Amino acid sequence: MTLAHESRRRPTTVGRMVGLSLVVVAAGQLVSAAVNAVDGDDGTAGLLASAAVVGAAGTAVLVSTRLPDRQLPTATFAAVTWAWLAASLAGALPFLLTGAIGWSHADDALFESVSGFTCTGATILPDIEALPAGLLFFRSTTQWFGGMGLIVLAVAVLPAMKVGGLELIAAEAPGPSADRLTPRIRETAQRLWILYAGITIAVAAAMVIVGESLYDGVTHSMTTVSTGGFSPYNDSIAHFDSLAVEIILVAGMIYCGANFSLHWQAVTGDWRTYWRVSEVRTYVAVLVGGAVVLAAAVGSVRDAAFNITTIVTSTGFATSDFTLWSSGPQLLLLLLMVPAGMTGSTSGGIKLMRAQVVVRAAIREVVRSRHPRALLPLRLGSTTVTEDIVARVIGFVLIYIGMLVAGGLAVTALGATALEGFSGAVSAIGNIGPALGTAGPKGNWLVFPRESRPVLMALMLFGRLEIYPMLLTLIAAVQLRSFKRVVTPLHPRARPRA
Amino acid sequence: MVTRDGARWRVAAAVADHHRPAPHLVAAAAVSGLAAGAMVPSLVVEVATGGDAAVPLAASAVAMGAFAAVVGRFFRFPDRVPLATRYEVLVVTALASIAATGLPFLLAGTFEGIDDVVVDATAAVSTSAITLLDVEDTSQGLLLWRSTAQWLGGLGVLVLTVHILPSLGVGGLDSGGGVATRSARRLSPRRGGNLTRLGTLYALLTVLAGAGFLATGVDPFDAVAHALTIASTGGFSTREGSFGALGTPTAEWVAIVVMFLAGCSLPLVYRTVRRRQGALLRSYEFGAYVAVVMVGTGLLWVSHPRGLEGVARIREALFTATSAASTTGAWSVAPSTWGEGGQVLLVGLMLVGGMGASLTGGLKVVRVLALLGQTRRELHRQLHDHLVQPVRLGRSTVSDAVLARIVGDVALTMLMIGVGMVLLAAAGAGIVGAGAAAVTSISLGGPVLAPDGPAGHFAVVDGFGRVVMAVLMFLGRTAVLPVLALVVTVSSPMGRMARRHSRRLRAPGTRR
Repeated sequence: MTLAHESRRRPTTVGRMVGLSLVVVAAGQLVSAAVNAVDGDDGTAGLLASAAVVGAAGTAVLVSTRLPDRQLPTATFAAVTWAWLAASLAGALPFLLTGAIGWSHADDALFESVSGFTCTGATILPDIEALPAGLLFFRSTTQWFGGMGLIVLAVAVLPAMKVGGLELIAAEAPGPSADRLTPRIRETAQRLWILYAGITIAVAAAMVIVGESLYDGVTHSMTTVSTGGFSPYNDSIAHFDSLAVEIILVAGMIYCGANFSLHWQAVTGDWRTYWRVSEVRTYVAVLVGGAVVLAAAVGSVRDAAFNITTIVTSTGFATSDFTLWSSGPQLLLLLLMVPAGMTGSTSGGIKLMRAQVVVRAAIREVVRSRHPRALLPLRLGSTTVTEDIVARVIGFVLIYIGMLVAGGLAVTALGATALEGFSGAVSAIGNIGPALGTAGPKGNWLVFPRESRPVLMALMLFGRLEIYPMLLTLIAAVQLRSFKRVVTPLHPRARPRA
Repeated sequence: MVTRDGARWRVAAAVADHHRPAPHLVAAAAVSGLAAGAMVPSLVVEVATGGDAAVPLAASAVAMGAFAAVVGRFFRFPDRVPLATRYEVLVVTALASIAATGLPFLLAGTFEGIDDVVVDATAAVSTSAITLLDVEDTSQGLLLWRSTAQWLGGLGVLVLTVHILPSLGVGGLDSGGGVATRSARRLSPRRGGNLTRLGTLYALLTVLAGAGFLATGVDPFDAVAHALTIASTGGFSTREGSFGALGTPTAEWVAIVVMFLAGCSLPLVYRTVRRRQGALLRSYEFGAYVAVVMVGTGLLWVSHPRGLEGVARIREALFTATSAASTTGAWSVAPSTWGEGGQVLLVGLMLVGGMGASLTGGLKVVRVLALLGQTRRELHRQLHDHLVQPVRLGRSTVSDAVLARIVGDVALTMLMIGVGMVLLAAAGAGIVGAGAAAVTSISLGGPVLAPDGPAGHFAVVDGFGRVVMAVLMFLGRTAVLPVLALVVTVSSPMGRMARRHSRRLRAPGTRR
């Protein structure tokens, strides 16, 4: 029952989510301003100003909206899309207001912000260390917040919406996942955020214990847990030149590239859940196998292990420059950027589970061409994958690859070389961070022509939100219909299921 | 004694019942005999031009002919061949063709090692245009033999289309196996004889090409050699500069028409020609194919090619786009004229390939269209959970089983490309070069994005890399699935499961 004063508010999920995300970003900007003041750099005023602007906008939106009583499931798509877009816009402000990026290059600021909230980690800053400490802190918090939103999306929301076959993780690893949206989402989100915060504190503490400063510890742990990969240093992790730090971060990346729903079950007592899920086995196999092959090709186990982990979990930290390797290992890394990490984590890419399904479907067709009338159900571990899930997975993979190729062609056509264009597209849509060629781990993405960077930003957003939310919102916007109309049921008398 | 049963010719009486059935041997012998016969013109040319490969050619012809005769005396091809055996026969035929093509080169010592002979022979048989040979240095007879081998490779594609692809369920002629589009309906009310019909069409296309080239002033030897390779969408040339070195721009227009037709679905062309129906023009896939070629031409035209203006620019853009779309791989101007972006476009065009059931390689337009349709349907299904919507291509519907088959095939091709890329890069190619080499090999196209000129891909990688490219070409030609089907079902867990299921289905009295 709505109260009298509440009935003046507009019932809109989109508005609510946008307001919430703006307020959260403003809080991050406030904390960053405090960090900046402590460190004594100039730029505190700019951070405070952006906190004020964003906070005011967010509060205004929150005050004038409320959650509708009944919401169409597909309103979630629009809400998620707009929340990420709003956060990206809000996150660009500090760069502009502190003067770090000029207003004539506002698109660069937006690029950095999008790269933050999508946990990609690609940067257009030629000299990262020239920025004030608070701004760099804010940069890391954008990725941390992006990861927080993402973890709820990946574990609870998107599987409930059956995006790209993700409902399979509920079958394989029953745990905190929502079959009905609203009541359980909040509970699931709280649990996941507790785990998320816990790991952040753990990684930061580990870094402090091995001797790094608190600032370094916190900034790097925030971007490790979100598998984003921003670092306040130009050399990224090579700055530390410390095996201990690399081991801590590799452990953190591996943990956060895995399914958080499994982690929750393990933390609450059921350790054997890891081995029951076939995707975990694939994840471990890819990491270990890739590390072995790379170590053999490159000659250094330390380099191979770090680089394979950072690419497969789509983090994007850098130690050595893998663009200096021979082409074989580089291509292997590029190809691994496509499946990337596990479902239910903050990793990007198609996700290993979908890659598993596609490969097994392909092998099944080979067997069927030999035995046309055989009945061959598709199995992942002990779970049978139903045909509609297979169809969904394949549909998703097709759209993903299609966007990847189209993006690569667009970027190449707008002036990049073929190598950078396509590797950039793969890296952007998979939210990895480094590409090949000049846009590699020791470079930045300024090598991409200015006109091609919006394409890359779009790819980052599409890839992060698992394509369908943004694509459908875009289609609805282009068709100038609200989501309610797009979802109009086929039968005139049928009602949408709430 | 040769008899005729409907449209099917039989060679009887020479084949008595006491001849043992041995499908693989007989297939190899048939290839061998055909090759021996086809080698005669090359031998004649070699002797006439006084080349030094006359003896190797003669020896090969005699050896292969003898092999064919001996096998034909004692063995026969059984009437009914089970599915697995058909795949095995396909692989054996391909291997035999490679051996037959390579034998004269091996005996003549043209290449340095046997692996190079095998690689170049594979390129010939699989109708791809990537080659190791220095054509200016080779005798005329051997060059003609190479082109003939490509033409025979095209014949092999026809056999694949008629006998193997229907079992795979995609892109073949009408059969119980499931055809992707209604356009490939039966060619005639009578069963059988499809191979003859399509073969005649193919021969006519070749004659058309040859006559056209001769009429536009190309030297006779070159005209014949290029007619053979253009009509088969193979793309080998007798000149270093590929087609452009012939020097006659008008011949390029003939080549454009021939390549375009070779990229069209042969059953559809047959029906259009024979029954004067608009079958080809009404086909949805044909519209898409034309669109692909037109868009490719347009994009090449705007990509600022070096040194081309006016009519020449249009002509070269059209030639290159058609050559890429039909996976011929013959070039009128060097591929580097189109810049890196243009060459990426060419690689993409080759990957898409021509229409289904045509002479080209690549994924085939019909499969790409089916995938696009499925993508669109999944997008709709994201909004309407229980939507039942078939995937439509024009007026035909693609069934879910066929869609699954297409997806599996394309996924396997992509996997092969991925593995091939990494192996080629490890063998010495650059990143972009490895990608281009892998894609063009499996699409049976031509040399694009190669470091220094047409032989670039082969020159950069070591022996292992060349073998990888040859394997990719082989897989591309044999439609990937049969080879993998033979490999996978030997002992894998899925194979065991499939055999268990099959046995249950075949048990007497079992009803499905």
